[in-house]
Amino acid sequence: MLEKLIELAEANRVVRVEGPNGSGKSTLLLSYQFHLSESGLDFGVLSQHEMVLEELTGNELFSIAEKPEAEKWLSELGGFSAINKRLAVMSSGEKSKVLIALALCSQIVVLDEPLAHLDSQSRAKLEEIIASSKARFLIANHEPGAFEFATSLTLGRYE
Amino acid sequence: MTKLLSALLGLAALILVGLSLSSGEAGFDLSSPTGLFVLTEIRLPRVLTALAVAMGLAASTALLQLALRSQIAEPALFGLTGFAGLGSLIALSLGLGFGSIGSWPLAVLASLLGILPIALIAQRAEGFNNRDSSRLRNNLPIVGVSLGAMAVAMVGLASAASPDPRLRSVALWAFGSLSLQNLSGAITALLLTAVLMILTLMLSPILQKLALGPGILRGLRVSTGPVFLLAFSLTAAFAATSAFGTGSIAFVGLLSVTLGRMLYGSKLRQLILGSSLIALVVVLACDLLARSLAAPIELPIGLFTALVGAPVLIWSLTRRTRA
Repeated sequence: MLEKLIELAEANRVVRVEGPNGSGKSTLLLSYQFHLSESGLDFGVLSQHEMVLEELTGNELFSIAEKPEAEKWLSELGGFSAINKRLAVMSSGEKSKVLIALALCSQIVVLDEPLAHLDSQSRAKLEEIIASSKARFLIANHEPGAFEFATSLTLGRYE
Repeated sequence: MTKLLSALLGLAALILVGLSLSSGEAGFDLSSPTGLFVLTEIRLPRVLTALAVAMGLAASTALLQLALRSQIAEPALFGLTGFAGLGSLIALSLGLGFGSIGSWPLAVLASLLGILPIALIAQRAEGFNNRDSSRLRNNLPIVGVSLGAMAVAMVGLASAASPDPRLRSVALWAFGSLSLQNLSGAITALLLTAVLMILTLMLSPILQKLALGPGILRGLRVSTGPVFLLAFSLTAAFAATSAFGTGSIAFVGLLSVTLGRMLYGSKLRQLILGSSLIALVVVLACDLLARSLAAPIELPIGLFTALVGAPVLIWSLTRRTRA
């Protein structure tokens, strides 16, 4: 499955991995991240089990990662008001926006269920950003109707 | 606001230094040889030791919390200072002087052994960011506290065999005291801490990347292994340097770094320097209490740091829902 994904990701700018809960989307995305790092490529990532020090504020996160341009992405996503909050006290949506903004600073972006905590306006904004970006995207997403411009890879449930 | 508070903290530290140097049974009398001796051989070493201990515990805590990405990790609660004391006692039995520079490497080594289980579990949790790593990480504080209890038990047993009656005390090793260092010992501890501090501040841009977690770091192509190793080694070295001539003083690190984050944020350089200042005020104040409350009997300083620090831990664990 990983080979198939690598092939698709090479041929298409935006690839969407879809499938029901437990079908292995997150695992596949994680394998793909290992593949990228073995190939020596930089990428941005939003994962389901993020392990960032929760005491950091958005500002500190961007500055430690040395990605000041993440501020611009955060404004575009409509999450700038959260920049000086600690991650621990952000709402799930705010935290998602901050982590997505950081991920968007790379030329390859791996997003695991990026729409999960976002409101409809922010979802539309994110889809717009991805559609008009020059970066390559790999997105795990289980909702029908999202990222219609992407090439899809469908996973079945493991029996 | 932060500048004002820092100035107030600095002022408080200066006043406490003045009080430490001037108060006590012998009064403050530079004209008599006894007065001068008390000042240079008893009170000055205490103040210098307080400075070394404050910096060591604050830096050790900030680094441990960074490596584990947990705001409740603490080198004394996790046994690192206890193991360092064990190293000191072993050094003593080998004929190396208490608090001497020769005993320091043994204290650091013992502290490194103490941090090894935590480092290994944390490293295992780094490998994959999924449910298993969350479970491992959630259990880490309990592992740490268990190691802390083990360290206290071991250092207590070992202290019974100490040839020096002053060091034959479980309370001393478990709760610490600034009274045991002479001037040269205090200067040694301070210099060693200063060297570690300079190294840490220089490396802080790399070290603080650990706060981002393994997933994001993989994407930034930061090879975490060496940075992880460095952070844990510095954590153990700071903890050992704070404890090899004073015993284990709990909660100072946790208290100062928790408050330090609120005042100075979580970027490593500011956090360590700011927390060190807070820790200095806490250590000096608690030491004054320890030596004056039941004078002429000297109480262990850790009794007072625990009384102040434990409520702060509980508060910091329950404050998450507020902005």
